[in-house]
Amino acid sequence: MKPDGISLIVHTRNSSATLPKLLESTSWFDERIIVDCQSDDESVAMAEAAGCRVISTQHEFFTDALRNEFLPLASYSWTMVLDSDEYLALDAEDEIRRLVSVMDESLGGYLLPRRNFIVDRFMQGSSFYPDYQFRIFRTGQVRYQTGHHVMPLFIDDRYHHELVDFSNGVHIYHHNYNSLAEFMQKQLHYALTDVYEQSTTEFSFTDVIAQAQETFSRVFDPKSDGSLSYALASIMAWDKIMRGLLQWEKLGYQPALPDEYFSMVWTKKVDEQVVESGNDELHEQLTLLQAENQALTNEIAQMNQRLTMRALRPFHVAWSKLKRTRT
Amino acid sequence: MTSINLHVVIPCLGLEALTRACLLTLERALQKTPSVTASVTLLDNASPFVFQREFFPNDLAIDIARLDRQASFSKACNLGATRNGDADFYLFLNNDVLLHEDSLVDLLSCQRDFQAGITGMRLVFADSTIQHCGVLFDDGDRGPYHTCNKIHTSLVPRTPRELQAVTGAVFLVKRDLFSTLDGFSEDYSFGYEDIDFCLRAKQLGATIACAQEIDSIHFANTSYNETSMKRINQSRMVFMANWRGRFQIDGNRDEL
Repeated sequence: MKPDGISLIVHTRNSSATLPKLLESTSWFDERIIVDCQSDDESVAMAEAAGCRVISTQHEFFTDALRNEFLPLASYSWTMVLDSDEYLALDAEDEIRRLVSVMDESLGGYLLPRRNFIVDRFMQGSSFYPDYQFRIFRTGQVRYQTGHHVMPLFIDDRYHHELVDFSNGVHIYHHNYNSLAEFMQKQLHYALTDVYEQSTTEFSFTDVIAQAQETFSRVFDPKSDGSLSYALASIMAWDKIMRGLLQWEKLGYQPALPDEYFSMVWTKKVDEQVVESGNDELHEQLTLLQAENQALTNEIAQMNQRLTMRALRPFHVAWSKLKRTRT
Repeated sequence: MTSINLHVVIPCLGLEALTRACLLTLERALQKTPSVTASVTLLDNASPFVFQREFFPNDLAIDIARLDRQASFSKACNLGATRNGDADFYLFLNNDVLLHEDSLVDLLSCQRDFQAGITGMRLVFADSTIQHCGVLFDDGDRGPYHTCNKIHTSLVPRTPRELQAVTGAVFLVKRDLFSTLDGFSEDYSFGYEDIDFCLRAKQLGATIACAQEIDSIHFANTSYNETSMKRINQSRMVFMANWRGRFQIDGNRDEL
């Protein structure tokens, strides 16, 4: 049985630029363990000066998997994990201590909302916020999986986690990238070092293209994030295609990529291409979609008309009365 | 001239545009006080839209500290003060104040002349009527009030004077005094923590003065919402419970 308290575990690698903010905002933890992956900069000295327990380890591509090795080092009953480019607000201590003082024995951890900053801008779009992260859990009850940014799992099924209210709760602050170039570089690094499904039967490049389009639609939110949203949506859609191609390469360049789909996507309008392809099934689906789209458009138009009529009703009544008075 | 280490604390809850204007005027006012070395903490008190450095095109080195859950005004100020424990003075500044470029010179000169532990500043609404030129105390239910409120500034004398209390909107306080009193009382959610602090400082023998030569703009209750007003009323009840009968009655001096 570990004593009540919270251990913080952070992995670092050449993190001296972001580490001061993390160290400053986490000084209240009962214990801080910095696992350094062969930094060449001042990271280790900074962590030691701040009174952290520093452990050196080899550098691994999969930091998440590496975390499992060091989770047992936590001396207290709860563990929090932060990345070296993250930090907490000034009032985080009260809220986090309140969260871990719960009496519910089946509650194993919390997902915390995260505020992401890209090019120093707080990203508010749907794909960037609240960006829940599973970061606080009962010590010894969680295991990370292989891969980048894969949600860790409870070892024991009896536990569940809860979401911290993003409208009035503690947040993680994450200054992800200072430039688009850095963002691209990181995405490419993750793509090149990630784990991919090995089965050719599961692979479909058409699905990859669909995922890219889905990603673009999800990230593209100019109302919230302005022009940056265009750029990020494009990079993240491109990332899906890169990953698809990397997986395809690992599968021995099999199955053949659907070249007609490429020409369809990149050169001509979808409906023209579907008609030209002679694929009856696709054509049928497209016709159905167009009909649904038309029906929806009509419905919206009727709804607008009804709303307008309702809004104008008092004026009509007043005008009728006025006319009656005049006559 | 002796160098002064000043730590400016600006608690913020929204009002990004006003805050930007506030910082620009602060920067200009600081340029007129070469003897002052200033640090600035912008304490983002859980604003719905997170404050970021890029909002503020100043050359000032601004430390932006964030709270996730809205704290009382006094707690936000106290936390902001902890960001620089080496300062000689703290200047608490509301983000709906636009400082006159000569206002800090006037404020520091008043502090020096009175050897004041706490120094306030003359503030006007946008229509040049007085928002604050000192807090006086009436008897009965009225208690503390802003004297000469809503009177045109040209009609109000400009002699700096000693008072029992000044507003916290622009509040210069010696760090030692602030530390001795453990900062603003966090019993107050919004409002009256400044008056409470002044009365506690008075009990320790500190002098409280208000600079009067220069007018700076304070939008004050024009930038408050319904919730702010509710919190002010709550604070007023706490204040009266704590202090009624324990302050000197200045009487009713609304009119000149």
